[in-house]
Amino acid sequence: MSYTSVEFLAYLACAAAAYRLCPVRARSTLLLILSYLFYCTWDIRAAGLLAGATLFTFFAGKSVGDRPSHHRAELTAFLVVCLLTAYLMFFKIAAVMPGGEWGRVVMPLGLSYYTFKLIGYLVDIHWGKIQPEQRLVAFAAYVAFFPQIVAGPIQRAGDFLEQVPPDRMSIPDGVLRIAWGIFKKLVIADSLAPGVAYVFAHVKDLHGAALLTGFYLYPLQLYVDFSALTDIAIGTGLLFGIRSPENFNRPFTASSISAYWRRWHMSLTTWLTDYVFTPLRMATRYAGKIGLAFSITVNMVAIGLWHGLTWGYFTFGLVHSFYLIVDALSVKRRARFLSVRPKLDSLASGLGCILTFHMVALALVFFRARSVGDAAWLLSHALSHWSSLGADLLQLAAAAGSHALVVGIAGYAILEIAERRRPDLWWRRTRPVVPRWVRWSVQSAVVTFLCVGVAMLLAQPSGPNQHPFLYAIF
Amino acid sequence: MPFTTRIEVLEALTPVFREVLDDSALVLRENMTAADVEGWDSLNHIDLIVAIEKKFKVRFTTSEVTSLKNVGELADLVQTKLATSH
Amino acid sequence: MRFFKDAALAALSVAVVLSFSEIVLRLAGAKYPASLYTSEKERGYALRPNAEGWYLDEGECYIKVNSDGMRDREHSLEPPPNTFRIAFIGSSESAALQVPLEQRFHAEIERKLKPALAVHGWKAEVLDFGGPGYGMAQEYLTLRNHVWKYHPRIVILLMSVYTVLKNTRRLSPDSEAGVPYYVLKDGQLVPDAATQSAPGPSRWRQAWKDKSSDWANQIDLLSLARTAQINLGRKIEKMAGTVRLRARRQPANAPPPDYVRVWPYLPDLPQMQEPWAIAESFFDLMKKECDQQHAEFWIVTTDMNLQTHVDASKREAFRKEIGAATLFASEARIERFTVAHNIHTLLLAPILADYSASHHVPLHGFFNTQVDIGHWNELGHRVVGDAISEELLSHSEALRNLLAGSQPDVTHKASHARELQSSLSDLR
Repeated sequence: MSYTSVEFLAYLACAAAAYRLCPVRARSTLLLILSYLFYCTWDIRAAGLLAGATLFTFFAGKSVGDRPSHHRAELTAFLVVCLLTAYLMFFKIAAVMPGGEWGRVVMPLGLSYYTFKLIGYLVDIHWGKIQPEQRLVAFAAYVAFFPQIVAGPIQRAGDFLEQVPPDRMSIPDGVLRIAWGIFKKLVIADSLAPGVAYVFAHVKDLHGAALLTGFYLYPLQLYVDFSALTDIAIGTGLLFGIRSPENFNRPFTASSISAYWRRWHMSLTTWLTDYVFTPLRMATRYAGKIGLAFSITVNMVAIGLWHGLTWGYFTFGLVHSFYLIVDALSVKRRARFLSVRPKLDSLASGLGCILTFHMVALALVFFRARSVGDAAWLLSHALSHWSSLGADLLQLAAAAGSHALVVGIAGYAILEIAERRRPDLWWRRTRPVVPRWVRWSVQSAVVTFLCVGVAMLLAQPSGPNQHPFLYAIF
Repeated sequence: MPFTTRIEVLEALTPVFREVLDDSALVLRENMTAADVEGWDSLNHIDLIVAIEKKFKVRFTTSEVTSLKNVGELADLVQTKLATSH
Repeated sequence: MRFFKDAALAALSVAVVLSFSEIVLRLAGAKYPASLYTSEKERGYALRPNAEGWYLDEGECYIKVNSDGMRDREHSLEPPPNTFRIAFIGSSESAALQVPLEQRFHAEIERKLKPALAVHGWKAEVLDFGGPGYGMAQEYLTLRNHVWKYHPRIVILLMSVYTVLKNTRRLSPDSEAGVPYYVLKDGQLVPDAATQSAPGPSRWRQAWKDKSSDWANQIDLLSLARTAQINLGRKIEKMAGTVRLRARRQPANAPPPDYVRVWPYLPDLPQMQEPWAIAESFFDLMKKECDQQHAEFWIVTTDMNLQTHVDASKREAFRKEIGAATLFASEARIERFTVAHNIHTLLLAPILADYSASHHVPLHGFFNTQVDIGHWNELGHRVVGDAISEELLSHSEALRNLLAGSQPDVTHKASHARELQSSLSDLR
């Protein structure tokens, strides 16, 4: 069921009620059942695969952790990681093959996310960061945890397992986080979606201004869509008393590309840093700058290909590795340049933000376009046809719905203000000290917004979701 | 020359950090992590490790490096390595 | 005391949030399906006078119902001088909620007849009395009680073959409350027992419902709430339906599950004889009504989707599936009747089938429907309007008399008004 469907909210309400009534000791079992129930509404056979992979890794973890001999542990860990990676690659490759005699193989829900959880768990045991989990139920609940299975965040085993079984549910925080995510998705991301989709579907028919609009709007749409998904995931986790890692930290305020990657899809990038980049870098540490460049390239191409085995994603990864290599090699020189010119500091970070945003947007064109050819076309023609600027924009507005674009852009502006001012934190600070009528007014206002939001959810046209979440396909 | 106290190790590590992170005013504390230091991230983390390896003539494994939580643990690790190599 | 002050301020903040949401919804151009109907004793339901709002099921169109409950512009009761009036009765094909007024076939007919009539200083005015979802009983009652005060010279029944199924209560696929049904008693059509004893809605309740529906159409938040409530009801029904596994009481000789899709194409089925007999009696009744009022009566039959689907293989596959020699058997049956009873007829299905086959364009369907399924789209309306105008120009006696220069009898007399009154009271 889609995260923005009434069915999902109804499921959450029932699940939370059951959880509340459940004794704390039995909560991990309940979480496991709820997660598999959720997964089975998608596909029962895939649930079997999930269970199989979970069991396999559970026993492999115990074996690696209990082995006294270092070499045998290392070999076992290596083999298991290879098997899990092959399992992931099989489905990724099958996804790009044309339907053969066995029919199209469908990628199991959350494959990329739960496989990464399993690999991370095993490697952490091998590195001695955690002890193998003895409770099968808790472990299986970690792997299948339904708020995180659809599209992350990718939580580390240690971080999750030490919270299980959770004794308190953060219901108001969870509900508000979910509501905020649904608002972002339905009001902002879905308003920007038709415009962006139109541009990328008709790349060769459009001129400069329209292409440029798509260039600038797509990063915004992707950010809002994906962070909304994360908000719903984290909010749902909070309902069950589980804190999940954050995925985003105001990424477009980054003043360098390396800072950007520390703020975007953080659970994935930290996973890749810990389990791919760092080991690779350690292995190549005596190879100087070549080693660095190599490690960065493998890491970023892996991020690209994690999304799918296409040339578009590959190019996306390659472009970012180029950015990061240049960034890493020049960071010291830039810092020295600015240290003797302190007055230029804020200008430099402002310019850095703008430049970084453009770099990200450029790479994302390859990520989104239907082909590398389309991407190249868009980038080479975005600054053309200045004379027909007005007409081009009008054409785009007509095709995508001018109302929708206005709502989307205005909504994004509100989002930026909210992320900067953090009214939720302000409220947490001021709530204890304000008079009762302020408290009641704010609470009534929030509840009213929630009711309008639920009505909007219900009033959506029925049938398959108009705009599925962008990150739920990986 | 083996170190007897952690403070001594930290003192010996400080010039390495200052050189790699390009910060001549940096002062190391036991519970310091990459998040506390401007300019210390995953990209130059390994540069630090290489510099430490060079200076103290030790070698680290990947699993040792990834399980370090803060500077204090790094200091302990260096101390252990030096103790076992002598 | 402070409690009330605090509660009042909280209520104020709710009001602020609601106003803000209303403003945002309007700025965002949010559209929700409007409520356009009212209940009445006579026909069960009808378009509500002065209702307006969005229709979103097929295509997207802003609907305005006029002050007399017609989906049409305002028309004066008396025809303006030198105006030739044509009235259409029918169901959703005539009301055509899917397209704007200027693109309906009615407007196309007005445009097409203009040159011929202008020569004599006349113009055509087409009035639409179509009621979405109407069956023949409701169409007949509309004709009897609502059309004559506008003095049309020609009355055209836009006959949808699907409505034959609705002639009997048993076979009617979805019976709304209060919809009238007629039965044949001694060769005469009379309302059945349930129709005669149905009480009809209470006046005050209905007036309140109508007023609140109008408000809901005007205020986005209320439309939102209503749409949400309807969708929620549907979802619950769907869940309850799957749980109950369709354990509804099936009468002994219940029709097969997809009879609605298939039986309209098979007029010779034994189960269809009663509905067809009633249909033919309605034709007869309507003809008599028109003869009394000195108006020319026409029957124009619409098409059914599989007769005119742009994909010819789909038509053929369907024909084989239902085991019929031709998909136009019902039209043939209607034509046999109309020829025998001297009723002007135009069968649109073969014309439209031809058009869509030779031009390879769908005459039905919209951006939010399947290809070529549903009601006529703008092109469909244009083709229909052209076909009807051509037929009227070549075969309508009333038109021919007008164009030949002779002035037809001016029909409205006081006696007719009295006749109308008495027949209305018969019905109650």
